[in-house]
Amino acid sequence: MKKPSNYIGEFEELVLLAILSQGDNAYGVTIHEALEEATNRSITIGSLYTTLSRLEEKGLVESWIGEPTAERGGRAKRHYKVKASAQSLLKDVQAARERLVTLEPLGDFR
Amino acid sequence: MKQEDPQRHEFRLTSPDGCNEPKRRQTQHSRDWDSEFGRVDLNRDQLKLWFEDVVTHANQEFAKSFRDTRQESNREVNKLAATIGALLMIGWLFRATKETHSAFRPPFNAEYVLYLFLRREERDEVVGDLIESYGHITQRFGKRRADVWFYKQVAGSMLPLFRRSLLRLGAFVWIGRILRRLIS
Repeated sequence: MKKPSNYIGEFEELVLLAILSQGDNAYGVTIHEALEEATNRSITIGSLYTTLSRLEEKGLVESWIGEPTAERGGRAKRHYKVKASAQSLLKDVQAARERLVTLEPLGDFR
Repeated sequence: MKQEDPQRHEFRLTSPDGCNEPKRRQTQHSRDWDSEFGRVDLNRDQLKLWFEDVVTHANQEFAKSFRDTRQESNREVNKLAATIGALLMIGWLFRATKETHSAFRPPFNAEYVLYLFLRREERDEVVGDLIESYGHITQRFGKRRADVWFYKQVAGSMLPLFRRSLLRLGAFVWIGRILRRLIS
């Protein structure tokens, strides 16, 4: 089994959080919509899928193929789930961000 | 010798039902069959009256037949219009059904470009996601705007997908270089 990476980029973090926010219904369309809504910027499906495949290669998310639907032209969905290791990594990143924000020179940045 | 009046004319009425028989003549001649439909002498005024009767009757008959024909032709026109309407309705329904299926069909060229850059294992999911979103946008904003959105997605996806391909290619190049150094 591949060892999870300890480094994630800003967009990777956002994607992980978007997957977590969607629960069991996390697939391309819902993740894409959640990201666009949260970040308020246009995100292409290509950049999302390259990030998702990178996260999968890093061992932070797992995916499985769902049932094909007529709405999608008979194509199946690929569902995503954040692994426990990625959740702990997200907590670490969040904690590091908290510590950095509370440092003295920034003061009331929060 | 009997002098023939130049103003008198001879007519033989041949109508069996007597529909063109002048009424006025009945007062001057006997009502038997021969006088009714046989040889009848008429002067110019009587001829004029008879001719007016015939013309009036013919006009009435013509008007009646025209009215009947018009009613009949109206019925035929109505039938034809109903048939054309039904055919148009069927055509419209067929077209609408066809459009419903084809409306969620994104531009083929753009889809093909995606196929070139996507990995084989992720093609179905990515294109399926795009088709699903494309369907939502089509329903909300129409096909043209959905097409624009689709092209924008494909154009925006080119760079990250191409970069990923290059990175993979670059990795192969680096592995090749390392192997070549090790071998030499």
